[in-house]
Amino acid sequence: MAKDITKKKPSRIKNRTLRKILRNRNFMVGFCLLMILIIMTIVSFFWTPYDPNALNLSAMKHRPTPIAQWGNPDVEVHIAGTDDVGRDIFSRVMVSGQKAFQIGLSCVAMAMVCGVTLALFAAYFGGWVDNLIMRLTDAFKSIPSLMFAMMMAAVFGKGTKTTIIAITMILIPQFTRMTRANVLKIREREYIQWTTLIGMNKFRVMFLHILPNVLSVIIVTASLAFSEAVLTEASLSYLGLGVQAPDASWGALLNASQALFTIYPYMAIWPGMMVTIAVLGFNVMGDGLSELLNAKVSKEA
Amino acid sequence: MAENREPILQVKNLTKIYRVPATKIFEKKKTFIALNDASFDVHYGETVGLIGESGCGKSTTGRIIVKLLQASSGEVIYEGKDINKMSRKEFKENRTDIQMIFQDPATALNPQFTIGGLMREALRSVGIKDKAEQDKKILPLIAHAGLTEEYLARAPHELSGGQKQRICILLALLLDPKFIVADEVVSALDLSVQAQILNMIRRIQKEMNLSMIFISHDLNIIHYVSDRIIVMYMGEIVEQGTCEEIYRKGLHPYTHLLLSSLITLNADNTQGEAKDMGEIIRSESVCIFAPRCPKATDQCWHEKPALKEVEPGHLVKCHFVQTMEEAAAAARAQAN
Amino acid sequence: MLDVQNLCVSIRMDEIWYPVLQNVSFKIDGEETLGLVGESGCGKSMTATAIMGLLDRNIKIVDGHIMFDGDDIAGLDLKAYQKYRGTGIAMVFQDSMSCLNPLHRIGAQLEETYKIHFKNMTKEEIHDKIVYSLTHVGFVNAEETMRKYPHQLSGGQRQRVMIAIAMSANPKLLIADEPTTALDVTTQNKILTLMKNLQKEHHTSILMISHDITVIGQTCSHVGVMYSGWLVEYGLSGQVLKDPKHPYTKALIASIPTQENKNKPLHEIGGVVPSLRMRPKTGCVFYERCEERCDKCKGDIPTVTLPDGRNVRCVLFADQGVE
Repeated sequence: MAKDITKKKPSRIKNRTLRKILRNRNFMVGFCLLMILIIMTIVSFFWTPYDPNALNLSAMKHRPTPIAQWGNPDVEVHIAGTDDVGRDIFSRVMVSGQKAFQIGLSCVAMAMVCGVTLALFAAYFGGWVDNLIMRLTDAFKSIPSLMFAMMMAAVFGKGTKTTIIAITMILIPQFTRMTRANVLKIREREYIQWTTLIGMNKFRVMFLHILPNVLSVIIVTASLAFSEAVLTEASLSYLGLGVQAPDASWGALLNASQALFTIYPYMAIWPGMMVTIAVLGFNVMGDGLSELLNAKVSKEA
Repeated sequence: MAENREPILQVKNLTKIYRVPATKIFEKKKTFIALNDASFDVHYGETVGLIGESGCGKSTTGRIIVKLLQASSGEVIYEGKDINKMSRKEFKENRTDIQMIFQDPATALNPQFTIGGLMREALRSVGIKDKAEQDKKILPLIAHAGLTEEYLARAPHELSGGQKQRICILLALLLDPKFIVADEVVSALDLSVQAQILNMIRRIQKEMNLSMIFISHDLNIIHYVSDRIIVMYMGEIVEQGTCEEIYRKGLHPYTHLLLSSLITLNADNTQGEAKDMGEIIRSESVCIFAPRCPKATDQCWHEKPALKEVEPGHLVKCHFVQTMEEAAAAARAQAN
Repeated sequence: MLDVQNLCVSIRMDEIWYPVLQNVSFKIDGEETLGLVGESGCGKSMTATAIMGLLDRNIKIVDGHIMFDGDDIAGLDLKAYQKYRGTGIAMVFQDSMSCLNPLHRIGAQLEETYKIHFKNMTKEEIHDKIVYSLTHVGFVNAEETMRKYPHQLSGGQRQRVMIAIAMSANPKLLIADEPTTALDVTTQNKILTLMKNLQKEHHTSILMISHDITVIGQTCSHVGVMYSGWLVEYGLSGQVLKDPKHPYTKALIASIPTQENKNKPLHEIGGVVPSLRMRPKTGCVFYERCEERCDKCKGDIPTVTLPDGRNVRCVLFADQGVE
């Protein structure tokens, strides 16, 4: 029975953490999907095939140029075709990525700061502070997110700024809930009780001792929140309440494509695909991150 | 090791009651008595061992003394002042005098900090913010524990259980405490590591003249470490006395039960005769050990025994022991 | 009845195989009780899981035999192993709460084992058998206990239920992995006495795993001391514990606080237990920390059988017995 199974060759990548990350399928798939979008967006800052806002009434509703003809110098190559006023769809899709990430990043960042701070205060102090914060959060959560965003648009007007504020407020409860649950767990741990024994300043305990231990949960929540932000923004723009013309956004593009969908579906395909990739990418990467971070925590624990 | 007969800590009538939220609508609110009327002293330089099984209230006592919990009633008198009711501000000047060493080294150190980082945090809380000043305190202490400076840069998960526990002890000592509560500090460790930690604690206590409360459920360890022992059962102190008095002349039936469960390599243990733990009856008029006591009589079910002094310093909570006065009176009666 | 010969087990971590157990050999016959004692990482639990066939997928038996009643059960697949479980070998674990299904009553959980092993019994017969088992392990009111859920019992009571389940099919070998570690001192004694009584009644052999050397000394006829995957000393418990020969055993016993060594410092073993990756590949695994080491310790370490019948794995005794 003496098989020498101990002689298997170790993998070439020496760094253990890197190896773990690369082997996690969820994380890699999500990451790759997102990289496609990120690279596309970064490139769009410097170059797009055509000016996304240039109307070209002679080239309206052109079908996407078949791949065979891409090398052909006489043909104007439109990878995704043109829309009803002749703008190149692909260029507009690329530029929309800017808006998506801008709104996504700012909303998630602000929601994270607010939500996590509220959660820390609620969980650490407990008592009436906890009650107050959590009941307010519950109240917020009970309003359907899209309805709330529409209300905000009705009150404060349409546009990017309102969208950002609305989405931020929608995201805060998620961060508060998730963080609070984990802080409650950690608050009872002995290394936090120890901070009471040495008379440490309460705020220092919250932000320097408790917060780093819940960071992994916050990161996972952030990636999922990002996808929700992108989706909500697309929905709002689709309803005409978000990003306004001439700025492009995937949702706005979808809105514009709606009327013509039956005869000319190409206007909808690319923006729709981008939204799908964004949401899928963030969700799947979030799953992968949570697997990786949980494995790390349980190993250290 | 008890050099000074003055008590550094006096615990008087300490009680801790938890209110259990009712599960049904019209159920009367239940209370859980974790600690019932506990009183004892700890003298300067002394180690008092708290022994009992799970649920006896020893951890609760420890936590009340270090002010992680507040007692429902009673006094904790530290160097003459009642610290139980003090606010955080009032207690500030004595906060670092009383420290605790926790049981599980795995959760007693913040995994996000290095060891050096944790020590600096501790010193920072008492106002020592300058790095050089901090080093002056940290480095000699590290050497004391038999560790080297390179350990300061390590994170807790890189250390073994024994090393972590040593760091926990160091953290407790860093702020120059006078009183330490050690809560089951060796229970989570291997046997050989236990020996290292126990030796370290003994050595440090002698050198720094600390007073200590040592909490454990292990009879061998308690005997090894303590000068005086307090036996607890279900939140009440049933017997207290010196090590010898408890182990050789223990009088309370529960003490007998515990000692009979003591397994040593060389002695065979005799079976304790007590019954299985049934319902726990906490009442002002029933002895806490009555349901399990092989000697329980009617009196035990109707009258709670008081803590009687059998010898100077040896107290037992049982109807069937004689106080010193009673014994003396009986002796006199016999002589006549 | 159980004869473990030269058992070698390895674990795969990050693509590399590390040896966890090396050349572990011991025997249990008839009504004997063998206690495996050692500190964390020594491999005692791994030995038990290897015998039970419960090894994880990344852990494999690389060499050696586990002879149970003449059959080699090392490395058998799940199906082949089934016929040995229950009636051949049964196991009691440390954490009774995680071994009992919190959603089922005690009676139902016992019923399951009976249904598997005694397929032809009627419901009444099974019920009677359950009542009998529960009474046998010390429950005064078995009917009432049957209707309870695990969380309504105390730790000691749950452990008794576990023992009842394990003994229900009359196994020839009972493996107990830290059966009393999670219990109070007074309950511990009762459980150990219970196991001893059941052993006498059912003529079962017991393999007990514990880190508490005093418990092992109290309950077991034989004891095996393990360190870092090696069985360093193995023999009658009276001999090994009162007169230890291997340097590790000696050091371990000297570090126990007793009533005799109260005012003296306890014996400390210098150094730390090597982690799996840091174990030396040649020579004695205890070399770094041994106070009686010599140059011969860097070579092959034989297992020597001393005249009094015990096995010691140390070069110091090479001339005193046979290998």
